[in-house]
Amino acid sequence: MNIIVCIKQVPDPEIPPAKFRIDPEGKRVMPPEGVAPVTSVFDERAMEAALQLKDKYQAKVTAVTLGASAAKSAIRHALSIGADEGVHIQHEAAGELDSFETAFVLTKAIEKIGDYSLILCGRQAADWDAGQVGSLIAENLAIPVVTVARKVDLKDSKVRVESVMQDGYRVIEAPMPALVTVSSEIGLPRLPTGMGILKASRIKITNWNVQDIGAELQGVRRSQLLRLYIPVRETKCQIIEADTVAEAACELALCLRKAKII
Amino acid sequence: MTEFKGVMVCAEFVNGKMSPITMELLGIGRRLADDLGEELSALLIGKEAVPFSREAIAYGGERVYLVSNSPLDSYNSDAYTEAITNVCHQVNPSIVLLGQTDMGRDLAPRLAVRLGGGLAMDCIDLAIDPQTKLMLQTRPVFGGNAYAVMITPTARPQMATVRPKTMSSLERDDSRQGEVVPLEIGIESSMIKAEIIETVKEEVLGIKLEEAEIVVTGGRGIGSVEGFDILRELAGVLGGAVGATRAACDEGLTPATMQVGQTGKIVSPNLYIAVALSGAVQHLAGCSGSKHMVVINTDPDAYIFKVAEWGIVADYKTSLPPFLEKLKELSTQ
Amino acid sequence: MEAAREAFWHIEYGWLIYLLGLLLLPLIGYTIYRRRRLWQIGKPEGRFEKGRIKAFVTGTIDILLHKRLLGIGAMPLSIGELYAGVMHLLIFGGILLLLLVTSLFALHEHVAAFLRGRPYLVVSLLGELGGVAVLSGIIMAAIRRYILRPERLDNSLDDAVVLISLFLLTITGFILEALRICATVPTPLWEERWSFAGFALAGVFGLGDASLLPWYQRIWWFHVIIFYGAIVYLCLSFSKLFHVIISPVNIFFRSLRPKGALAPIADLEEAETFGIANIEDFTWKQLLDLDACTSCGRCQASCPAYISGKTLSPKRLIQQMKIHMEEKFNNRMTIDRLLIGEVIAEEDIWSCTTCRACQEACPVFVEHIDKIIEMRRNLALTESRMPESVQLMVGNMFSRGHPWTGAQHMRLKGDWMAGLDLNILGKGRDTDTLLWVGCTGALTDRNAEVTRSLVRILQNAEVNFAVWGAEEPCCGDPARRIGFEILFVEQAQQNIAFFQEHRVKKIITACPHCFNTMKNEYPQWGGVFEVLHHSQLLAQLLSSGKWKPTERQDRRRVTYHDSCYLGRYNDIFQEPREILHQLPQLDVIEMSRCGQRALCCGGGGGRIWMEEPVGTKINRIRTEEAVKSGSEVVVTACPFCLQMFDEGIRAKELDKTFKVMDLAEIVEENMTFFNGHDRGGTRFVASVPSGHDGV
Repeated sequence: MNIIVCIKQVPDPEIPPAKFRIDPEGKRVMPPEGVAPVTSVFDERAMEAALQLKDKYQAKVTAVTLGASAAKSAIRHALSIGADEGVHIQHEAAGELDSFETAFVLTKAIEKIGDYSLILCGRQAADWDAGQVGSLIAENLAIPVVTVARKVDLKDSKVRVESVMQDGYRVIEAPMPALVTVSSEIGLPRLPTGMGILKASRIKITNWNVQDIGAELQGVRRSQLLRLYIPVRETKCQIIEADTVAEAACELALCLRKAKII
Repeated sequence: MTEFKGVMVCAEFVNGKMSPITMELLGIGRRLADDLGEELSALLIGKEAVPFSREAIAYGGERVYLVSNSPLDSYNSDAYTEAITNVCHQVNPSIVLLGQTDMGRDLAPRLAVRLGGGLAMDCIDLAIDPQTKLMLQTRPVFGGNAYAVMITPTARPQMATVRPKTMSSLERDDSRQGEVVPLEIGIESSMIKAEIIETVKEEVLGIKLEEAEIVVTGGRGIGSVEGFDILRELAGVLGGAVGATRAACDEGLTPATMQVGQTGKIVSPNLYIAVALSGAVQHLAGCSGSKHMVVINTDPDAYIFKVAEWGIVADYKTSLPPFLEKLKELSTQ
Repeated sequence: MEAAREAFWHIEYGWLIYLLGLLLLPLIGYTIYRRRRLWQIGKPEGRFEKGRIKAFVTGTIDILLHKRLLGIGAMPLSIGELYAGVMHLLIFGGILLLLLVTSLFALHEHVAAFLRGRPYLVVSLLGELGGVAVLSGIIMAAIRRYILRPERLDNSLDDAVVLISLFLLTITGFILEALRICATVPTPLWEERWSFAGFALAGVFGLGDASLLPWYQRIWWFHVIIFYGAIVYLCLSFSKLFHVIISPVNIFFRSLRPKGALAPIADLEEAETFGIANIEDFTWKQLLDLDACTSCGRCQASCPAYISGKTLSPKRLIQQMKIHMEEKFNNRMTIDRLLIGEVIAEEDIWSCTTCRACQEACPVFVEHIDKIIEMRRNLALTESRMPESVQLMVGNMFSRGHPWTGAQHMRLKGDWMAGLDLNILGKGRDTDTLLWVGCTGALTDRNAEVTRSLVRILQNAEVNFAVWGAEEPCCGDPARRIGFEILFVEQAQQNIAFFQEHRVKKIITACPHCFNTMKNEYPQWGGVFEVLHHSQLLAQLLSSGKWKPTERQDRRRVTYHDSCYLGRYNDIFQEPREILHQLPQLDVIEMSRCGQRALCCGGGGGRIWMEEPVGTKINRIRTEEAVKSGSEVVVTACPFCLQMFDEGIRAKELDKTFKVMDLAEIVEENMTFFNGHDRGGTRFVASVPSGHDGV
């Protein structure tokens, strides 16, 4: 069986809030010096889910990314942890596409790849946090979609998913081909093995641009970004100090009581 | 050429009651409709929903569309997508609002494709631009580090999912007038591809996070599963709930249902006590609605101190026990 | 009549011992041959490299002087250890003497009769001394093993057989001598007093008693039977006593790599598996190690993991591997167990801090750490099985290029530079000296203070240097120490290329781990630079007058903690102490475990990123030791040690009375500058801490 995993490289979400900068004119984030982009957290989990299935059912896993040339490293890493093939759709302004355009390009790429039983995506990207692209792709391809999976398994010819809810989870089965978006509860992503890294450096990554896959972006966009800004949120914190920790703790309790909070 | 008019809100029901997000959606929906000079309608789905049409009107809806065929009694992604699409094709609203909830974020993107509309998820503010009359959708991005204001220039409907606890509902006014319109939507069983086999609810001991007035949250710095015991004790004494950051859940220190944050639960208690967590923006996204915040952390430079009101720079293991003792003492006074 | 002795005096068939000897020599030879076959199961390894002859010579000297057993050239040993060293020296020296004496008598008997008169007396005195030495040593050993019972020794049948045999042999030797003296003449020649012990014993038996002769004969044969019987037993059981041959061989073939350099993986590109998962994949020398070990337990007694209650024991590691090697390849019925998991617990493989205390304590130069690292490589690179904390750390190195998970929330690598006027490599003034900051010195708040302190010192001492800046990556040491060799190689090669591209010749660093890997390991990939630890540089600057200690009124009691990668790994013990002793404000107190025998802080070998659920935390034990020394400050020269002490101090709530400082910090507090600049002059950077002279 063939599994396709969509991954996205994003600016590091762990940039300290005090260092987070945007370009209001260009409406984009400006990562500080020396901070490299990383693969979006939930996409890493999607990759992990795919590899867990590969371990169990001998599937072939293809990693696909839409991004600028730097995004190739995300594919390289996916290959080193166990993906069999990699596809890089190169688009230097990929970060400026809206969810619909992104989903459109990925849909075309998936159609070109052709044979697949399961598509896995992260539940949302760690930059724009929209959480739409997975479901949009599924609708484009007219295949069933199950969102926010904490566990993905196969049952006969169906995919069996535990989908996260506020206070528990639902077990959902859908016929394949299907698309599943994956949440962090699936587990920590695995690390490359030595063999994995060596093998990955020998695998040739497929490179496409939007023309190669027939993804003409004219008229696909639906959303427009009007403004990007950093909200002011700092308050003045009163640090409670005392001779001992125990005294400070008691001070704090009294503070809260005085403010009628407790 | 279809004309798109009006604001439609998709209602949600939980445990036999209309969930708070619905009231909040009606509240913002009412304001948007008023600014546009158009109608606000509410879409209620399922047998459970029938008794609440009056309530939907009391909270601001002018028209209530009631869809109660049997396959729609309990939530199913395919069925609900089909049903809402159907209703929207009949009603042609210019704006469709859902909650950023299990149901809302599951349905919204699918509906956007089926209806040909544009979509912004997890909005914390919505408004009508006075000049263009377009809906301005404000949503947090980059974990909450920045806010983006988006518009859907041409695609219709303009859709948005709204973050719970960010909008205010209207005062319930039972004298408000409105129309209830029952609709028959044919859902063939062949339309339902993804079936729900079972629903597993995890036991929440004590008060639910989203409803608690006091929340005590632990981060990765708690260090062990047992470390959370003192937080549970603290929450017990204060009558609150215990939460955790995604990092703590990832490390297996607590079950994932306790996660407070951008992809976990959004809480807005009166008092939020943040213990041994650094204050990653993705976490703050879940608790920024708190009225008062207290921090206990060994690192005085942790970002969390910048958004809190009071703090102690100390290890929770040495500071929480005396804190707890003092609280117990104060509660007997 | 001249003093002399007759061989086989009153012993008929005495020549039989030569026959027996001839018969037993092959047995000994065969035993060694069979054992060698076991070592040959291992992979080949070239140990006849340049410097090997010298190693043979220095090894011999080390053995003869009992350097490691007596603590020569290192910080003093405890009384208990000294006892053991002296005890072994007595046995060792005594046996050598006896061998010498017996050989001389054999020569005298069969080649040239030179042992007459004075030579005879001298030689018999030497023999006497030898016998007394051995006997004293054996008695000391028996007391130690069976009465004092130190924890690091375990007692087996083999030990008992050896001790009893040697005891019987020496005792019977003296008895025989006494009997002979008794029976020789009514009043023995006064020269016999040269054989003082036998002579004294003869007094007990009764001088001039000829009726003792038959006893002499019986005991003579008894002595012979014990001797040969013991040899047979020792061969058949492959006794620990074979260490007399194997251990010197092991010492001769000890590693000549710099202490801090791990062996790289050969043919990394073509490798199919990484690290070692089977005993036969070790090299012959690594297997020889297993036989050289005499279970003395010095390694175990100095191992921080063992001391703090973890299940890891370096001694048991070696002994278990030895047993496994025997079981798997020696017997007809091969018992095969999994090396990792069954022979050695996985948990033990990760418990090691790579502090080298075991290797420095081992008298026979067993190399424990290489074996552990090879097994880590297997777990990390082939099996992909690591503790979760290590996985997170490695994952972070892949995605963010440094090991400090979660640090990015708070700091970026360039943050420490705020407010400092720095020369960025390649972008500013030309220089061939790079100040390497390291991940900890850049990303951890407490350590960034040290970096800034060092920068201020260097700038004020007019050292021309540059820094890499916000893009400085990791040196690769964490990856290498936890076994993820591939990541290390990639990082090292990238760094070397960068240094070469920017014509860096000299690297200064405040981190002993970065120091060690750049100095001792980067040359493995062609990166040869002059690497200095900041303690060395500060000492150099002090002696060349670039800075001087100030006079201060207040006094402080400080102790110095030797970081493993600085001390045991690179023998840098004196420079930091020289500096501290030159600061008049400081009273320098030494901890009881210091220098080569310093207790690790618990942070090495990647352990600073790992959980420590079992036993006591190593860093807390060391913090206690520092406090117990009576000092107010513990000075370290390593960012990990600093972190570990910091945690220990806070955990024990001692932060009001005790603190940890880096060498750079305490130097900065106590220094003034010369070079034509006024002490209170404008050269000082504004952020110097208060209390500093001149500001």
